[in-house]
Amino acid sequence: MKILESQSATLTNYEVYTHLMEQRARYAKKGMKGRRPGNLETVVKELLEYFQEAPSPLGSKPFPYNENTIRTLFERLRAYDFTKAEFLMILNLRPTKPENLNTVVEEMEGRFPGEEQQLEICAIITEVLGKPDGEAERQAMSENAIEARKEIERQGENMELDE
Amino acid sequence: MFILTKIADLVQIHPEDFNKEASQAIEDNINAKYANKVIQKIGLCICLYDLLSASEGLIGHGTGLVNVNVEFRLIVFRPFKNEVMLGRISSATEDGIRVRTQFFDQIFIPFSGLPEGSEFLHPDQLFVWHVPPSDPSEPPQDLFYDNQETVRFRIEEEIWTDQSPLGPKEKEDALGLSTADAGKSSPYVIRGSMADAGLGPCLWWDGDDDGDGGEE
Repeated sequence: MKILESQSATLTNYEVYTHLMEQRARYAKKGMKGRRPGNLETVVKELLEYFQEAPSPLGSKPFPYNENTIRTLFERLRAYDFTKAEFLMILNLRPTKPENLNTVVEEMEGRFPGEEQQLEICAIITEVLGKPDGEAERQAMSENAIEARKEIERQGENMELDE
Repeated sequence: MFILTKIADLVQIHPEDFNKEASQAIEDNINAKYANKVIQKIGLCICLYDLLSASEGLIGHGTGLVNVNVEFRLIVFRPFKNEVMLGRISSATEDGIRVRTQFFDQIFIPFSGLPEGSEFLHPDQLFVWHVPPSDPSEPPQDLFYDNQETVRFRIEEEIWTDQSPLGPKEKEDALGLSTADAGKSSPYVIRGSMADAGLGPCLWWDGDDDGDGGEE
């Protein structure tokens, strides 16, 4: 093994998601003839679960991305001079409120003073990527947490029984 | 969160895979070798992105393996410094909070990465943040870092531990150090922080979303 280039490009979550879905479809079409390596199966399954879990935009409905989204959003936000990293996080996390935008934009207060400008940016993001369904997301997050806690409890009980 | 890494490698196709298409056999081979594995200073490999070039297959003497030199790009999980990610709290100790995602669980938020006014509750084994009230006469509000809660965190640092086996000589040298510790540590650990506004459990920040949302 020889690393030719350790980082030749950066990918957004959407691009990785699309790649995995295409790969899955391709394998499904070929049937079970050539089975996929187990380690690949595991990581792909876990990654898709991660992408689809609230509050990830990839799990929200309607699906907020299409092949033009990146270009459109980039052009709409060009005036604000975001760095590449910031833009990537905006695409991945879809901040639609100033409080959320604050986490991905460095020194937001200094660069975009005043709530008006911040709301303007959020409005553009909402326009291109859609608005998260806050209520549904909160509910999904709470349910996921409760579910996971129960799962751990069950495991704990089973272990006690085993002993 | 994800990058592409360009790699050159030798792929050996076994005779039992000869019924597959060549491209498929190469893809499976690469995925079997790299998927879900950590390469030092590169990241956690996810899967093949695309095949850039492949040489003619050469059959090895005596083995029947077809040797192909390939160049390809891999999708690799490697969040950059200061990137904000989503994860779930898996447990907490006095030193800090462990966070995991479905596919990667070596994320640690040290106590120093929690907002000022955080405290560890020993009976419950979790952290609480005493939010200073805006009105000093009111008691501080307590917010809990419950287990399994979905959180946002910022990447601060990555720690790489080379796990390649040591030769007998090096082993002897290392014996003085804590070998048990070395065996346990993971090849790739991320340290993060949740000390900024907007970081920490999503429910805290996204909570009154609908209240604001009505106006927009």
